[in-house]
Amino acid sequence: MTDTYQSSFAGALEEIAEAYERVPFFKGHMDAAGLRPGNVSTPADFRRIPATSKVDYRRNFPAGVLVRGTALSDPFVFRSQSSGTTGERLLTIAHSYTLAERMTTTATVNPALSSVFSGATEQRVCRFAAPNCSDVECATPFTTPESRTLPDGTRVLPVAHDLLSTPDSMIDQAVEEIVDYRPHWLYTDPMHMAFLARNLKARGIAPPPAGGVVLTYNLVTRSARRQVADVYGTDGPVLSEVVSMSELGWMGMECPHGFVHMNTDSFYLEFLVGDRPAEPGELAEMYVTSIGDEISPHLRYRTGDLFTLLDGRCPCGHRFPRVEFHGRGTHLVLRQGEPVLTPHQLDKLVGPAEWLAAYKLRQADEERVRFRYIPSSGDPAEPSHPADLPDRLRAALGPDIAVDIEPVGYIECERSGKFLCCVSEVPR
Amino acid sequence: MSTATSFLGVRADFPVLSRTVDGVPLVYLDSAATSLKPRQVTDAMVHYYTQVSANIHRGKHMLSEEASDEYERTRQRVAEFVGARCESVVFTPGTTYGVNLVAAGLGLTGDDLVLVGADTHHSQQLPWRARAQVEFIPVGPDGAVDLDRYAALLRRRPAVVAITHCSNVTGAYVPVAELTALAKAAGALVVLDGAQSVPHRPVDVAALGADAMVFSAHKMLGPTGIGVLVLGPELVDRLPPFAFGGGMVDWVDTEKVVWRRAPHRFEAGTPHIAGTYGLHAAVDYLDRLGMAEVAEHDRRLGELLCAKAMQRDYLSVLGPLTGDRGGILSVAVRGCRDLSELARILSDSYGVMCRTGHHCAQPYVDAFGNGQVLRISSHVYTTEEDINAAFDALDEAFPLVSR
Repeated sequence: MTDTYQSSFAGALEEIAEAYERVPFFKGHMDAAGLRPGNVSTPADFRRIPATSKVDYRRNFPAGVLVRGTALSDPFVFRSQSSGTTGERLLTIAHSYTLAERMTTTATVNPALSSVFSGATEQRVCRFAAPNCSDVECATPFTTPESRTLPDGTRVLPVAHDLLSTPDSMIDQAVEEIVDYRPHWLYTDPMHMAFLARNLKARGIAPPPAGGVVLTYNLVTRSARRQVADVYGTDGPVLSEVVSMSELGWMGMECPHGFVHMNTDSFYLEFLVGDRPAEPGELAEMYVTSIGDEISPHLRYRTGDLFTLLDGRCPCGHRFPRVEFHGRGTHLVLRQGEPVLTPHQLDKLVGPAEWLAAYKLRQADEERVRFRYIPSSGDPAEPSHPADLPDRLRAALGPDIAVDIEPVGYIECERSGKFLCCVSEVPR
Repeated sequence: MSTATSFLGVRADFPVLSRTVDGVPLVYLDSAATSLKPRQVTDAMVHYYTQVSANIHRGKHMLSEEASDEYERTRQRVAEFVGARCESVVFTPGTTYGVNLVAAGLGLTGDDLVLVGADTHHSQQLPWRARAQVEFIPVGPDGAVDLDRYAALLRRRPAVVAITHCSNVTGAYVPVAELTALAKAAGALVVLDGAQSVPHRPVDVAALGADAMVFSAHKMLGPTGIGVLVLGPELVDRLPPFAFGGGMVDWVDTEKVVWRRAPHRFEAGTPHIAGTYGLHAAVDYLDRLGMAEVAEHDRRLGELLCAKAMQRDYLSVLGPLTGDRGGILSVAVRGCRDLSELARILSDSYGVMCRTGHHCAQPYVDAFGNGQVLRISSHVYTTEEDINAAFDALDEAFPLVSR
């Protein structure tokens, strides 16, 4: 694993040297810390560069964070507006070729999916995700397929901001458009895809054909994956989790053995606990430094996403390091200010859960959590959770946190339009 | 400390409770009219006005997005609080407006029959009386619905049954699930007034089966000027807009207009944005206390109020003495024809704020309360000491005002 980082570290050093010379913000950023690129030669030196965050790229956009000479109107410049999971706005640009290269490199992790991409010369893609994740209006019934087609050809499917309130007419529209568009692959939020799968199953409609289904934007819960896999059956498309950010593109992918590998050719990644590198198994925040970004480099960019590194070599043989994605730092369940449960750990605890359609654990304060789920029958009058679920949740959370478990007929999305399975409102 | 003071710790959150009336500590027992507001609620609203202040939706700037996010987050929070779907939660100026919105949208005529509880608030009576024939569901002086007469009225196939979950006069809770099921079996729509129940009990609108439910923020520790209408699946797509203007259309040209989906088509114009900040804080506040605990507190205070009243032969309780009731007590006072004088004395001489009159349920109070009653009502900040203070004041004032 250390070898992997060392292999990308040289690229990171080149990135800061370039950024210092050609991107106004970074010169000021490093000068303020009393650093020059020449002072940085080891990973420990590198960590002395103050981390950057969304606010830096927002406040300094475009003049401060673009390479001098770049214009928004340049050809092949891909723009992205994101408010994402955090609700923090950000307008970023990237070179289409850079994004394509990151995607291609990342996809080497999953040869089957990679072959779907490489066999699709036109790249017909359908996206089914929260409206906030797309740069087109897709949440009203007055949009046309043409108005929802992005410059790169991606067809954004219609869906309501509040996923489970999507009217039947919009679901019909989405299904018809997939059939009509014949996408090579689907680019989806796993919760949205599971919702679509449930609706297809309930209507007895065969799932629209596609070579692959990319599950991204959100934690891929075992129950969502089960529902998507169920509707497609054993001969269905390749399903794969992808770690991506609208600012940076594809960063990691699930291999055929079910492990997520992070792309350390396109990025120098730091997994840190406080200021120190994490050991395998430790919950750590990921910091990203782009490599070879000729338009808008990112240096030591704090993602707010938490991972654990996995030790050892993956049976798939890929050289990229393996990780487990645990969710965002702001979504951890806290007890006395300390994290006690990550969204990923909650998902492991719940499991594939054939007894439910969807669930959400919400922590309003440190004394109590509320676990709501929609039974697989859809009827809240028919509780379906395992008898030991309350005990298992209590065991995970500790004795100070009361657990309410409630079957419901509906669960709301977050304001971002994402359906998150674990949220905490405890100030941190 | 008595069991009725289980929320004693919350009193510091309510600045009004630190006031005195000519040196006498203020006792607030008019929560059925409007509740006090904790600092968390006023802070949230001050935050909006001092730090955001922008209009919602369609603006591209950051402040507009921030306001829009919070506005919609409040909708989510309220939906979760009452077991509803987000798209069915409509922000209104209050309970009254919500009932009017529904009543106006049903296309009722003078041939349609609407059943209304006899003890119901004017806001749940008059919108129906203005548009349809109204028959009153008999409710006795003990606050109990006459179920036989109700069943008989249902055989007349009413279009709507307007139910009040908890009477603002008697504090009596009706068996709403049972009444709703009977109404639905008779083919009627059910419109539920939750103004006095949602602030005090866990209410799951889907489980209750109502087609619409209305309530106000200001009775649940939130701000005035904002309420909620929750629409069930039967009405959410059926009801037309009630008011027209910006924010409620998807398309306007010179030939046609296309309304937005619910809830937006019911929210024309700039809404009470600061109110949603306050409402969100109020729901959070109640949720932190725990609605089961809030309900238990309310029940205990209701029992205490009844017990205190029954110990005094000069008081006659209008409403149930036992059974399913909340912390609202209305009493007639022997020999007092003008209760307003008594209320003024309780306020100015003893610092006890309560309310007299017919409480916007004039037909019922005229029938059973001699036209006016004295009402004492509680909330989470109310203590046993508050109630003792009120009854002690009554004991002292009664001989001087009765004839």
